[in-house]
Amino acid sequence: MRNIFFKNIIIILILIFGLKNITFAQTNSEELIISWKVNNFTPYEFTGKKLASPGSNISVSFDFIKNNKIVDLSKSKIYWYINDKLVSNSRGVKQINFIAPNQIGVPLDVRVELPDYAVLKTIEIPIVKPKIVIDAPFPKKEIYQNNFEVNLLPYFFNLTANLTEEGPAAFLNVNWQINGNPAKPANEDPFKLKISVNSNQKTDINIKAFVQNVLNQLEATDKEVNITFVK
Amino acid sequence: MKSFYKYLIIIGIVVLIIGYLWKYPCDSFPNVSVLKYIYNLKCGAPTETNINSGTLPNTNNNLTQNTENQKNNSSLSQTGNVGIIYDNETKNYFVNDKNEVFVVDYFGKIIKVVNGQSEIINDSNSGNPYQVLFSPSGEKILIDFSDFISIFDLQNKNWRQLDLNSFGPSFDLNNNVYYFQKENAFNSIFKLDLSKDDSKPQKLIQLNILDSYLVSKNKDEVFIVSKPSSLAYGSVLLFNNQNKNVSLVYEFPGLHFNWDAKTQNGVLLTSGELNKGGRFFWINKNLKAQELYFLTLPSKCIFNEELTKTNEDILNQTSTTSTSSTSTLKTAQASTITKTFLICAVPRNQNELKNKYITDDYLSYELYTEDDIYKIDLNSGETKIIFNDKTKNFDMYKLELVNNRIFFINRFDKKLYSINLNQNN
Repeated sequence: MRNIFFKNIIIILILIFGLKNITFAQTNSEELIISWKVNNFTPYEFTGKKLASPGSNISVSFDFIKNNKIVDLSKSKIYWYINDKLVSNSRGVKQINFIAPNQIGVPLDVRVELPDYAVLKTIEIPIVKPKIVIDAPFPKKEIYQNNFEVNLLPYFFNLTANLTEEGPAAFLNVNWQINGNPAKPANEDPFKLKISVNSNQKTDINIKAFVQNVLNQLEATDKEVNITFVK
Repeated sequence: MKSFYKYLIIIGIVVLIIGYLWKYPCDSFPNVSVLKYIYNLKCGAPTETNINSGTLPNTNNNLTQNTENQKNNSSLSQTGNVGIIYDNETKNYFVNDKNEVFVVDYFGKIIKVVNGQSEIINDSNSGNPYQVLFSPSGEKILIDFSDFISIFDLQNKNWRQLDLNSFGPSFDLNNNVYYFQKENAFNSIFKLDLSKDDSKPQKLIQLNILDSYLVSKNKDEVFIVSKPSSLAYGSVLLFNNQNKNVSLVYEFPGLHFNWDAKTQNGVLLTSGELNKGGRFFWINKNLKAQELYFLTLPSKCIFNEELTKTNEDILNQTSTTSTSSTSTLKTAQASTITKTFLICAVPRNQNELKNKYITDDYLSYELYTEDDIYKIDLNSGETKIIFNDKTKNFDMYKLELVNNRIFFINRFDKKLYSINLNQNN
């Protein structure tokens, strides 16, 4: 009786751990590679991944790799789901485009199912608020010159695609404050703030910027940075 | 029957303990000594772990930190001899063995700097470059102007433009450039042989992969790498140009990857809990990863191979004298071995990084760092700090080591600096 019981326990354990390994081996030979891209505004030299903000145009695409080869799915059923809602079930559709919903902080689930191959994969696309950075490139945020400038860098705002001629300044209202008082940016560039310190003493400087997308009242954000002038 | 229940309870407890430990995070060592043995079964530190999609080596698997050595070096304060090489904003640069420096500035201007004297080689006047790459020999300069990509040949002073809609380029070691080209809904990989002026781009494969760039691995293989973000999963695929195979190498949250084709080593940053902080790995030629004990960005690291002389006492001869006593003659023989070093600019304030979306904050200029330079012997794990002058604050990136001088761009002022290491070694 006791021997049979132990045998059963051992068989169950072998099955549990054995099946786990078999599943892992299967997933290694077949891979769904899902990638996505967002079309919104970032400064030209930004080399990171553009993140989606509400209203961004998102493209999601995939390839299916089996035995290290890209599989031709032009005649295969492909199901696309966004947040568990079926959005496409046409054959051969390997890319979908949609607008990011207003769910900041809650990632969007996009799932691809290939019923012919019995594989599926879900990815998460983070939805973030457009952000601005006050670029103050001073070690320890300490400045030793009386005259200096900071730059405002906007990220993930949904501006029109045709920015090349007009630039982002035509679509973003920028307001600056220094120590709580309104400050005027350089005439030619609202994203640049020139600051002069008329003091011979150590001075704390609070710089704050507010940015509003003129095309979308919901796209507004602010940022502040504290700099110390050291004489 | 009673003994049956007794066994059942014991087995139940054992299964519960195993189950608990199976889910127990490897970075938290259990205090209860009975559990340590089982913990070690799961989290024991192997010397190398293959990180594939979905698995990472545990945090015990750190590259050995030579703390004694580090303490000694820290107290010495390695200051080096720091100087400015190019006093204007530098997008990228290349230094050759003759100490000639070629700089591309923020307007796409190509400048040669020798002994502090600057000479403009080419003024394309085509706008602000998004990205600048030098070929491994330094003879070709690729400038991505966002709208188009052009390659400048330093010898014949010619430009060669890639097809429109090209992106994500990478040089290999054989004067080829790989790049993506958008074709309708697809992004195809092309290869262009730059050793011939009349060569035509060769289409290698058609893919449905978005927001990625290429990194040459070796003469036959290219990595396809997701643009990095701490907040999103990223992947590294490997494409083999010979057999057209594609395989998934890594897929991790916050994946940020870089590879050195010359030494066949790479580095990898992943993001941590809630996408903040992260873990930093050295990747060897077999794509196996070992975790490093510090955090930094892949753009702050380079690899360097050095020929190192070793004196080995070699048992050369054994002679027997007439008195039957035996003596051995030892001869010191010099031999050389090639050692590979990882050299990284490492942010001094490591704790600050743990609370940051490292990649996103750094690339968006929300985060600046003040760096020391570590040199890690990848064979022994020995770490030396070769620069830690606290009176100087540099946010270093795009490092190069030439003739025992480390060159870097300081992100605070975007100027090109060098540190002479001869004093330190």
